Amino acid sequence: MSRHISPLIWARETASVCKFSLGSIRFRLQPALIAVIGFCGVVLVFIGLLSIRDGLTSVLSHTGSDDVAIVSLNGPGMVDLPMLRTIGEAPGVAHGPNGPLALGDMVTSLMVHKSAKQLAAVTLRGVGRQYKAIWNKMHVIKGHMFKPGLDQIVVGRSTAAQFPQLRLGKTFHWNHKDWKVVGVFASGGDMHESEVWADVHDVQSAYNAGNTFSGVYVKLTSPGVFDKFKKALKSNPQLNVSVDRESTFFANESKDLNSVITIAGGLIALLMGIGAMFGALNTMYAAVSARTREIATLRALGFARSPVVLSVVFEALFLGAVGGVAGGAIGYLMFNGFKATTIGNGGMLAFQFAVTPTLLATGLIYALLMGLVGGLFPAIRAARLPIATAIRDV
Amino acid sequence: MKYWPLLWSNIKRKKLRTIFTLFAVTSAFALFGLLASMAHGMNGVMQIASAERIQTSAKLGALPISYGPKIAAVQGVTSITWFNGFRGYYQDKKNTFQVVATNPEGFLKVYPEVRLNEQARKAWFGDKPGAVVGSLIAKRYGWKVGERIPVQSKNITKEDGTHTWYVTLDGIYNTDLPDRYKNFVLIHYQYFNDSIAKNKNYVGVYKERIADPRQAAAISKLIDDKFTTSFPQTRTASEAADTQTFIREFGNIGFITFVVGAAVFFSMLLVTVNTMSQSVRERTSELAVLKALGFGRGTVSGLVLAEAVGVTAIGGALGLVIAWLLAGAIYKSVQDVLPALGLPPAAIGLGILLMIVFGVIAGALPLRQVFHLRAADALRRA
Repeated sequence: MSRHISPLIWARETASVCKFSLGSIRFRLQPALIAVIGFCGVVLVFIGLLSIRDGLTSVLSHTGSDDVAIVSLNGPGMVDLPMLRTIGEAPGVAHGPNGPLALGDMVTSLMVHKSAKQLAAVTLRGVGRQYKAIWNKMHVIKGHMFKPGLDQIVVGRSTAAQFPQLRLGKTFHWNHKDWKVVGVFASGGDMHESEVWADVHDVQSAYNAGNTFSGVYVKLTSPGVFDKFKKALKSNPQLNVSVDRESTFFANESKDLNSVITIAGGLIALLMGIGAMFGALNTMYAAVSARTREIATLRALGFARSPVVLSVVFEALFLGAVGGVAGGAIGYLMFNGFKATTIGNGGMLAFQFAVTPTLLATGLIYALLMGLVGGLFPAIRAARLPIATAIRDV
Repeated sequence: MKYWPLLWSNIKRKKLRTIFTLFAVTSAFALFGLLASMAHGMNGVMQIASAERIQTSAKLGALPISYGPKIAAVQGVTSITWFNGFRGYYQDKKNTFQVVATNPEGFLKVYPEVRLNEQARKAWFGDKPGAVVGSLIAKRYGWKVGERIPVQSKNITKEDGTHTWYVTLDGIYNTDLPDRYKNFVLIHYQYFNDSIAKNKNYVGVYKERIADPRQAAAISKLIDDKFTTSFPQTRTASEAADTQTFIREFGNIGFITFVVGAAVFFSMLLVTVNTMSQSVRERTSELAVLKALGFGRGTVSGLVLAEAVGVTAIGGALGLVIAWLLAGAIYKSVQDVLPALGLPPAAIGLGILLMIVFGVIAGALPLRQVFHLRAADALRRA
């Protein structure tokens, strides 16, 4: 900087140049609009893709508590009563009025028609009488809970919404039995709302499974005893099992799907961001070259370099902000709460796209960054223009 | 090519702008290529499914090997195979691959897509600790027919307490299926089942070949009816039907991604096309000079179009190369969901077509305006 000026004057200069360049946008409406549309589009897709991931993550992270452990067999076969008893005797298992809270469950899938042509798998879970001790969020919102021994089922509210055959009052024929839907349940928005529940012994008899189980859910006395519990089961030579915390189990199960969405979605958003940045660079260069004479005039009038640089950057940031906010708003209206289904853990998994505040903020920051990069280089160029030639330039 | 210097100096006229435009086109086509690869990856699941194959799994628990003969006896089933196996590794724990334990004769009948020469077939059928491997894995580890290969497992223990199976390589198979299917090590089920310490006599899934695909549902029902009163019960369905269920469910998201991506691709290109048109419009007076100098309409249009198509073609080609590299880089992490991920020739063709179309649009839009003006007027505008 060749000229020394006081900060106050500098600030005033900057403010007036910025005001001037914003005011002149309306004379360059078309390129400015194209830049805004570019930013807006990128933010829109960014939000759209990541809202899928966030929606899925929200369902999975709401599923499971830290003080519940899932015990499953390594290898084929079923859990029998002696095994169930051994698991119940392990250290750290909480006790209810009827003994240890180690509940055998049965998980399998039903093939149900979603429409006349489309079949989909839905997870059927057979649970024991003390299910409330493990799944305390689960509560019936319509109808009533199933009564054991009567082949009654209750369906999660997402399932009820997706499958006409599984609405309240319907009878569903499966495995040579008629199952009556007697209730619809909610479970705090977790993945169990995409399932169908029945009494574990009804499921056992429908599948000729005797008194065996596909897995065991264990309520622990506190989240902290998990490691001790796991170690006890792992070191027991009679058992060959895996032990997981319920809170991490389902997220791990859906890792494949999640990684596809994160990787593919991330790459797409990145590519688009790069493309839009070059678009923005072009627009801002065009804006600077259209304003060559104007900028040179300002400089000739005695304005310093840095206010000129800042004004160009400021303009690009402004366009980025407008695009970012517009993209965020449209994205929110378009995607938030959008209902979709996918496959998770062997059956249908319903979820809603979630446009979270964090996501909106990230989208806006992304747009501002694109604006910053897109504006900075043209701005430097503007400041370097030799005044005498630029002012003559047409 | 006498116009080359003129074309080149036009392209260089605003170097930065050309470079930025080029990169914008590149990222648009990289996006296009990536989306096309993923769409192909999804359809690939379908391509593997055969209408002549049905599959039986357990509704609950695991399938015993004793179901095999009972299923094979069902009318309409021409041959049957079954799978078990483990994730194996070779030398280093990072060199993992799928070891498939199966019945060799049945497997090759149920999977005619798998090609194995007569000599290798004979050798493998009679050699209990023998294996055949996919062409890609053989190449990766430099395995030769006749070699003895130690295949190790991290978590399956043999009866003798070790974790290593020594198999003789009897042959190398090839197939037109996606790459993932050229990375298997196939061994005898009998050999595997006899060797393991625990969980003997189970299989993961049965696959049956049927003579008449139209009978798939009826034959599936016949099979399942045999096990209504047994444990476990079975669920049989055609591969195609199961795959369709999977794709419909998973595809829900795939479709949304695709639509959004396609919309962005086109809007990105439109913005770029606009920039390119802008750069031609700025040169209206130059083009008028060319006309005044006696260049014909055709030559002038040719020059402008060649410049525009040149930029979209170079940028587009770069983009497709990037997409191809990216697809290769992420293949490993997504192969279980998208086994056929890759850039198909049809997408390359469509990509080239799009490059030309957008290039022509970018050049033709401003040309109309240029020709609308008479040379004298255009010159005066400057």
